[in-house]
Amino acid sequence: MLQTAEYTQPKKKDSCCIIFLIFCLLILAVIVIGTAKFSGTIEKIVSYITKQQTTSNGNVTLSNQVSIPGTIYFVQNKNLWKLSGSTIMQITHNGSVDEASVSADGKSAITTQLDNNFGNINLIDLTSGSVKALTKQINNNDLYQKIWYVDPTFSFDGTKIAFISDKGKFVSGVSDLSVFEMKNQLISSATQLTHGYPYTGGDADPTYYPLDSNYIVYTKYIYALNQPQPYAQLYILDSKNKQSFALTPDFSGSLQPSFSPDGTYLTFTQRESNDLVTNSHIDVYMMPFNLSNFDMKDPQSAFLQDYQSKILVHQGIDAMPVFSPDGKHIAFIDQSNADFNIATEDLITVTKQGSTTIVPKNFKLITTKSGITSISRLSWVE
Amino acid sequence: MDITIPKPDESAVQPPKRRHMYGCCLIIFIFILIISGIAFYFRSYLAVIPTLLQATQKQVPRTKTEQGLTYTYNGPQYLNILLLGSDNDAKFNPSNVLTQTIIIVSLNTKTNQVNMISIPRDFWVPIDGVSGGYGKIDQASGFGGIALTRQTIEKDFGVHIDYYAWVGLQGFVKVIDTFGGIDIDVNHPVLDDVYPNDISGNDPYSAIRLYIPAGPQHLSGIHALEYVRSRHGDLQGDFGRSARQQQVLFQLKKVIENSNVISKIPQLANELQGSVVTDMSIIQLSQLAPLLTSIKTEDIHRYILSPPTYSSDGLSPDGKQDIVKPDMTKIKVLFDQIFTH
Repeated sequence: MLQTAEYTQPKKKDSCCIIFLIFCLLILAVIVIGTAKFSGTIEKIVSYITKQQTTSNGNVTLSNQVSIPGTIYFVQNKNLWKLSGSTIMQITHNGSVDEASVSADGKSAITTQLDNNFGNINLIDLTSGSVKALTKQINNNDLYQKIWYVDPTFSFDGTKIAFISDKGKFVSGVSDLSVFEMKNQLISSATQLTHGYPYTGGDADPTYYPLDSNYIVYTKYIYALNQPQPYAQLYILDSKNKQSFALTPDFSGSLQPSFSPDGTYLTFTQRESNDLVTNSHIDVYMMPFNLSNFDMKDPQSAFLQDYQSKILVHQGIDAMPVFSPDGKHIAFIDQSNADFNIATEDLITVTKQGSTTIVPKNFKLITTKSGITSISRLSWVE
Repeated sequence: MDITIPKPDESAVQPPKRRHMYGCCLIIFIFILIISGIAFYFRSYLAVIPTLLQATQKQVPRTKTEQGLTYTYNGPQYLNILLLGSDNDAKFNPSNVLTQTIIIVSLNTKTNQVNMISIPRDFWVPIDGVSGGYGKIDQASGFGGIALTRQTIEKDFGVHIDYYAWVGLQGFVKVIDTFGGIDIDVNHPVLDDVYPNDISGNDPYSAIRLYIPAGPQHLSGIHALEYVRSRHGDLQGDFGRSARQQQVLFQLKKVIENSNVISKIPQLANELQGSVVTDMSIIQLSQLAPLLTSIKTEDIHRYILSPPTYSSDGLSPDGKQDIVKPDMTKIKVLFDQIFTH
């Protein structure tokens, strides 16, 4: 019997082998059929695993084990958010915030809501959550009475709001820097402080000198001879006499300025090239700032002689840099992999051969896959 | 008494011929399974190919004039594609639209260099069949469709156009949206008080006020369209927006490089009906796409035939139209340089 069994066993082995082969082939077919389909699943699994290492709130995801000193306010998907330590919180939910700037004391946010034809400025009490409209344009057919009120920012003492507006303009492509005085949540009528150049887009990005709200640094757009695109350049304005002086060299492509809390440094971004297509770098810079240059005989020469900028971040495309309240870090919006996220660098003081210099260290991506709104500035408060 | 049955020889159990047959069957089986698997996976894409073809394919026969043309710039290594963009909103008869965007994309297949030449829409050039013999180049499509536009460019500039691709307003928006939008560095704030409100409004002649802040940002299809179409807030008007159009094309190239184009085909097939047309076949497009996306940015050279280098501003002979007069001598020097390398 055993021998008979021995005789029949090879047949079984053979059929098993074929069944095994068919099984392998089926597995192979399933792999072929589903590779791309399952890649989505794999991504989901990876994403699930990744999420285990991150803290997520809605559409903003915090990177693993990240914690920041103080609070950073930012805009995402037309809402205001804040990141405190390692906690993300969505502050507004009605999708009416296009840009936001928070007061130095962290109590109020000033925001813009952009419509097809105009922009309004609103004030949000961050303690109570109440919203007050500071400008009250309504949507009607009276197109030529409409005004863009955009890019507002508080003075450090919270008594003034600088903003950009095209009020009173009869040509396209220009806007100016204006100011509201604010008292008890009521604003004065606007005072226009600069005149932007026509067809450049005008002036932009106002930011107050922290120690004296009479001084505002902003971006001015200027055409160079025979150049197709205007260049961005930083200017400082003395609002008492409406005098402006260039802070960065002509055609430097510098924009989006922000002061260190003690007013001794400015951080800003700068295009490596002004060519629309080939430019692949908008870098974060910092430069020392000396207000006493205003007292010199020739302030313009004094400011430009003082100019010595230092590149802090050369990652690719970055925007909206801002100092931390202690001046020891900068935060900015970093663009990579078709996404915008908040990133930080620590600023370290290094002494070498008798001279001290500030160097960036430890690039940290604070959020991931979050689509942070890059046209709104970041606010970093205590 | 034990009966011993000898242990069978393996080869005796399965004769070589049979084994060979099994092997063949297995190979065929594997092959069928793999093909079935691939077909199963791509079934959704295969199903939409006819739709996509129907939606985007439009052969434009060569005119008699074209057939008789001799081209100055027609080397076998050059593949010249004419990109056309139109305001095809309700203001226009769908079969009689102007081509406000005209770009010749020339690919040198030997050197892998690409030249993009933007032709201003107001170029005052000879157009066959037009009263007076001359007209703005964007009007050629209104008089004789894509065929006359192609013929006008070929005749006036001496360059042979191999293929064309035309996109309307909605098509542009849909293409950008299908790829999830694009990231653009807006060089300066764009403020336009009379931007045409012809996509979503009830009155195609109405306008809206436009504001796009400066700086890097993510633009959806509709906002990307606003960016490439606005011209009243730019000192260079039409030429300024030509530069922005080239910028958006470059960014779109980057987006396509980084995305799964195949997976977008069903969506594109559904959405692009009538708003993107070309005479390139799916096969030609599929051959061209990886070639174009593999080309480095530094190997793409851009030209806008704008004043003062290649043209000058002026008025039409009747004094009624603002026109741009091409400097054909300088343009020839440029084309010589482009098409002799």
